[in-house]
Amino acid sequence: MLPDPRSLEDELFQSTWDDGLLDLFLGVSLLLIGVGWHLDQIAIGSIAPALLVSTWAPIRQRFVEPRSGYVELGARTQRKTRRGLWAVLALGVVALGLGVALYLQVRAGSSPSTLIAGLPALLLALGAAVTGAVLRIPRLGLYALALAAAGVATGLIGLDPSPSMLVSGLIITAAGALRFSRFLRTHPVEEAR
Amino acid sequence: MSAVPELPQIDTLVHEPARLRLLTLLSVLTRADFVFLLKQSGLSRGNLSVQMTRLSNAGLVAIEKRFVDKRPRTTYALTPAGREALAAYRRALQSILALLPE
Repeated sequence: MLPDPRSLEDELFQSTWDDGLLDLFLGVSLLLIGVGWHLDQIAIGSIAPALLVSTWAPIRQRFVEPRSGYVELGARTQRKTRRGLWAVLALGVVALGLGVALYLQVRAGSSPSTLIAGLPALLLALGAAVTGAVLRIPRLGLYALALAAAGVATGLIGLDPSPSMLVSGLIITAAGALRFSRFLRTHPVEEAR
Repeated sequence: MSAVPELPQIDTLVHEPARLRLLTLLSVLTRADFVFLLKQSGLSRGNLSVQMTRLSNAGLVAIEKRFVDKRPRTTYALTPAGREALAAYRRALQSILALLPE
């Protein structure tokens, strides 16, 4: 029996995220947001996505494509992914706006910080979960759980929001670095032609 | 008179396992380069190169060569003729399979 072309396309789509670069970028983003929050410079967190989006393609071109090749997936997958990523972006903008509003409320002393300190991490957990669903990457669900746990712990203990993002950012960066270094080790550069 | 109905013609260019594997891969992609097809098909570099040349000569696959970041990049895409050949192959195979008992 011929393989189902849709499942083949889905498998190829998922294999393009196996190198760990996305995990590394997600972890570094969280670290930047956490550092920005810790230093009371939330602008650092807001430039993180722009910085990472602009470096994504050159890094993939330099390290990933010589090893696993270049591919443009089918039109159906490209459309579906684009729609999903726009939804994630919209969610991210709403989450960022909400996070900044809460931060300003806490600074003004009009909200009890212990209740909302965990919310930024919970919003980021939601973002990671939705991205994982859109890109069909189950491990992003695990990262979302780590973020959610960090957010809940932060809220219960009554800490500043930055430790939850720094800790989960460190965990995700370490997981991404491990995956990416394994990819570089196990996928030698292939002679192009 | 034979009781066996006339079987549809199988295109041997498509039917060969290595080429069928490559055409199937390309059928779900817009385009892919040599390294990607090498990794995903499991074929050797020599075999992949020979099969892609054959498919290109038959007009089933389009080849585009360019340089990206000072590295050569050859990409392959299924042509409309390639897509039609694959669809015809599928139809032929399905009608043969329909004649076989479970």
